[in-house]
Amino acid sequence: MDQRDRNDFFDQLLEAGLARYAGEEPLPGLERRILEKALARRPRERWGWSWALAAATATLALAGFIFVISRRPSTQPRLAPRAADSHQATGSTRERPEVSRAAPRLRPAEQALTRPERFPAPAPLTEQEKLLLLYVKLTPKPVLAATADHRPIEDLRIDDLTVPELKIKELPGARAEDTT
Amino acid sequence: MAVPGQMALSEAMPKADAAAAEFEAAVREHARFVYKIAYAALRNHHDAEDAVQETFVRLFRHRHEWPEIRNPRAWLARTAWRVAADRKRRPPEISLDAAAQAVLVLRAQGAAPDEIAAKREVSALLAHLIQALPLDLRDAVTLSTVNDLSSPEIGELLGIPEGSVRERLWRARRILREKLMATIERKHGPEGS
Repeated sequence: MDQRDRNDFFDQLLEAGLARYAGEEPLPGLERRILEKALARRPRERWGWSWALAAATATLALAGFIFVISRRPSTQPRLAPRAADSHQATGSTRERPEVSRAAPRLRPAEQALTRPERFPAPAPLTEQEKLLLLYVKLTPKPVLAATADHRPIEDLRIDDLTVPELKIKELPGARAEDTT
Repeated sequence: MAVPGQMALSEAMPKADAAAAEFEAAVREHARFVYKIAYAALRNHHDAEDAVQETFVRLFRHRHEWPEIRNPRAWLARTAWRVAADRKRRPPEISLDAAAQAVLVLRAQGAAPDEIAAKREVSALLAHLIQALPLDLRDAVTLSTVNDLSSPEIGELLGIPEGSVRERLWRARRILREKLMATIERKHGPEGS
């Protein structure tokens, strides 16, 4: 065999070998198998997403609930400075947010453990309460009673005062002194 | 023309589902092409089909990005090549002497090169020689065996210019030819025969 034939033979052998290298055909039904597998995965993927979404939503809801609970003002009254005695007289039981904000903030755990000395905790009087006290102090009691009873103002009318005319009696020795 | 299994699949996949219908069309159009790329890299029917499955599953998973895929064929080729590269296993050991003996016997019997190349031993020998090439040459020559892939497509797939593809193919073929000659004629060469 001469060199040229030898080279030609190996050239052709290489070409034929490379042409067959990837020339293998797939087994019949390749497309069907691909689609079946892809379809089989679809519902799983959808459910997977649904479950992931549901889990994420539940986690967020739980986190939100815990956040709200932790930030919510406690039903336990906060510590407040002692109120004035005048306030005790009124017996007011309203909460005053201004005072609460001024009070030292306690963490929920501390609030749960802290007992107020008096319930509800006393707080200083507001301007309206001070004016009310002044009004009560200056107003006659019948007027107050009538105001409390919501009686009409006509019932409170007092008859005109009549002052009898003064009569001056002469003293027995007064004239005699004048003459002297 | 009806394709076997098409009716059953069409029933299972609602027509209203446009993405599923588009996916089915892509499978029918490109499955064999993708298979050849996978087979060229893996040299095994089972592994190649697994790689094809994986490639199309990835395509379906990325269905929201389909409008951005300008060339589905190139996208599939690239994905199949990567999937196959991840699954590549070491090729089985072959007996070079047995392969060389088979070639020489057939040649002595007057068989044409095409007939000789069809033999399993010769195919295994060629795969062995390709695997021994440097990586850049190996990838280029492996992809060139996929008849459906043009040089520009190979260049796009490998991220190199078309001229580089041609140059690598020329070098790879020269090396393969020399090694093929050396392997076959090493012990059973013209002098020995």
